[in-house]
Amino acid sequence: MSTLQAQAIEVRAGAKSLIADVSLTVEPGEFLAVIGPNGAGKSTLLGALVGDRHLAKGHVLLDGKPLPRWNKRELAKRRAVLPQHSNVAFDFTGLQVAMLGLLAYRDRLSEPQMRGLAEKALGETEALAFADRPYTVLSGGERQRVQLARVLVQCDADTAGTPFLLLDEPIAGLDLSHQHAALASARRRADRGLGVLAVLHDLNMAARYADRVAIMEQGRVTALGNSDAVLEPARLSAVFATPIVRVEADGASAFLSLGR
Amino acid sequence: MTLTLKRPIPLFALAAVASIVGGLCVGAFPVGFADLLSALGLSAKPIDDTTSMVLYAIRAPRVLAAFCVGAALAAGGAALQSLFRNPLADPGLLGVSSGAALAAVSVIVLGEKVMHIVPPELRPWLLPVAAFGGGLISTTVVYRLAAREGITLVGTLLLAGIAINALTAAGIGMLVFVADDQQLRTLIFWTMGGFGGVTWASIVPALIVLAIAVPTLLPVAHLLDALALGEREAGHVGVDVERLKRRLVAQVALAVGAGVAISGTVGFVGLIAPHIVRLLLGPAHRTLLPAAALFGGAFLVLADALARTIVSPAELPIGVFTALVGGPFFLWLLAGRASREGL
Repeated sequence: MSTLQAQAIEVRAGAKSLIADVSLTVEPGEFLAVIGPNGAGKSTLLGALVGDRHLAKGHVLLDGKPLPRWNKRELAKRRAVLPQHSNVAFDFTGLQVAMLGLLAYRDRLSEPQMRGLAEKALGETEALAFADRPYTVLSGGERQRVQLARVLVQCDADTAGTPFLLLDEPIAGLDLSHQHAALASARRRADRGLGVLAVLHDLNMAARYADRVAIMEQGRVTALGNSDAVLEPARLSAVFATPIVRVEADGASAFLSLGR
Repeated sequence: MTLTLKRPIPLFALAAVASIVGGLCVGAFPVGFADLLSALGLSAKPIDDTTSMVLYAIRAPRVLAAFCVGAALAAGGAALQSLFRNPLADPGLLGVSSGAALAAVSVIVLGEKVMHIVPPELRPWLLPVAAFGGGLISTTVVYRLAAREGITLVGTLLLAGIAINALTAAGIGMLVFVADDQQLRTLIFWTMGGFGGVTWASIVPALIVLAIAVPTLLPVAHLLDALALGEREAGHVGVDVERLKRRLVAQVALAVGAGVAISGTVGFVGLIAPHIVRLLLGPAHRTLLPAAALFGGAFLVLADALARTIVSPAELPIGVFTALVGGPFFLWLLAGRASREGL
């Protein structure tokens, strides 16, 4: 079965260890949320899982094969990555940016097919209005939706494969409604069989959309399991060094932080 | 605003052909359009020997050289700008041209000492090869200095260019001391740029290099688009970024080096042409590269035609001419960017 697996990985910056002894597997069909305080190594873990970070120890395997041994184009067909901040040089339009998600499929798809897929993805992220506008003039949230469309079109292009979708703070900068829309898009991909890993800051969003949650603290995974089990007010209060309670209202529950 | 032209390339090609026709006709010895047609075998009208000589031996190689160098600098500029993700990258400003020029000048001044060990048939290649090597070294140095983990430090980029330009100026200055009178004349020509001494024999090797280095940028056009996302992101969508960067550095050095071998340093074409084409047609490299190449070629043909007619029978150095246009253009670009995003 297709998996994305980190085996006892360590990433260093100079002598300092950013993450150490992290083992984690993303399974197809699941939505795994990574939460934790600032500087805990969440983005570093994501960088290691996509092959951007040099590993001081351990391996990241996709289908059992270490990432550095993958051909870049084949890898692009197996996993899509949404980075945290994205600038685009020059005045590329929203549609052109979204279509770049299909770069690895250029030999298989025609120009109109690629345009159609990109427009569909832009529609999904409600960014179709930005299709003909230069990316550089868009607001932060609008850019994020265009980038999300680029990533979605990349994982939708190959229906036969089981790609992985890795999102670094996908909802930062989005309004509430688009936060839900973005995570629902990721959730639908997971339900369709993709493995989704998302770095999130919002506990309620993690509780609502993720199957499993990993908590990172000081470069290590300190809890990993089903969302219900991991997202425990007592544990969360300790991790985030602030009192967090669970409140019930209208048949739903939500985490509430009460300040330091 | 971006034009929505369905097929912009034929339009640019037409403009390029028009500039070439103009370049062939004007000059100290004017050639009529009818004479040009008969010289091309498109008209039965007989053509006199002088006209034919001027066209074939003097003007045709000169116009062709100007066009190819303009096209190479423009395409090289566009590729550099993609590599650095910055529209201010120009082969001249970054020291690519001057690195190539220093190497070329070294061949002119010191080459005689090694020329006898080079087989005669390879000698015309010495200059373009040296210019390529010089361009390759300066491009690599600038890239190593200014690009860190896929992010270009624009300040470092431009300062590195200044430093390389200063170093090569010092190197050329030293060579000026050891050069004899004849070499000195050639040397001045290199540093100011120009198509005055162009003959078929002198340009053929460099033209062959250009014919390889420039069109082969087209197959990587979408990869250049992806680089605009950032190097990491380009990797995520399937670009082997390290390989692409090595290829770009080599191709830019080849194109600019071969251009410098023909005409010395001609500044700003690599800045102006891609910028104007981006304003007209947008940034997608599949149209940008050919359109900028055609534009740059036409621009240099016209600039050369002006340079040799304004003060006819004398000639303005074309490098001076392009700097006269390009300098203010660069300042204007800088002012706009500085007010918008602080470079």
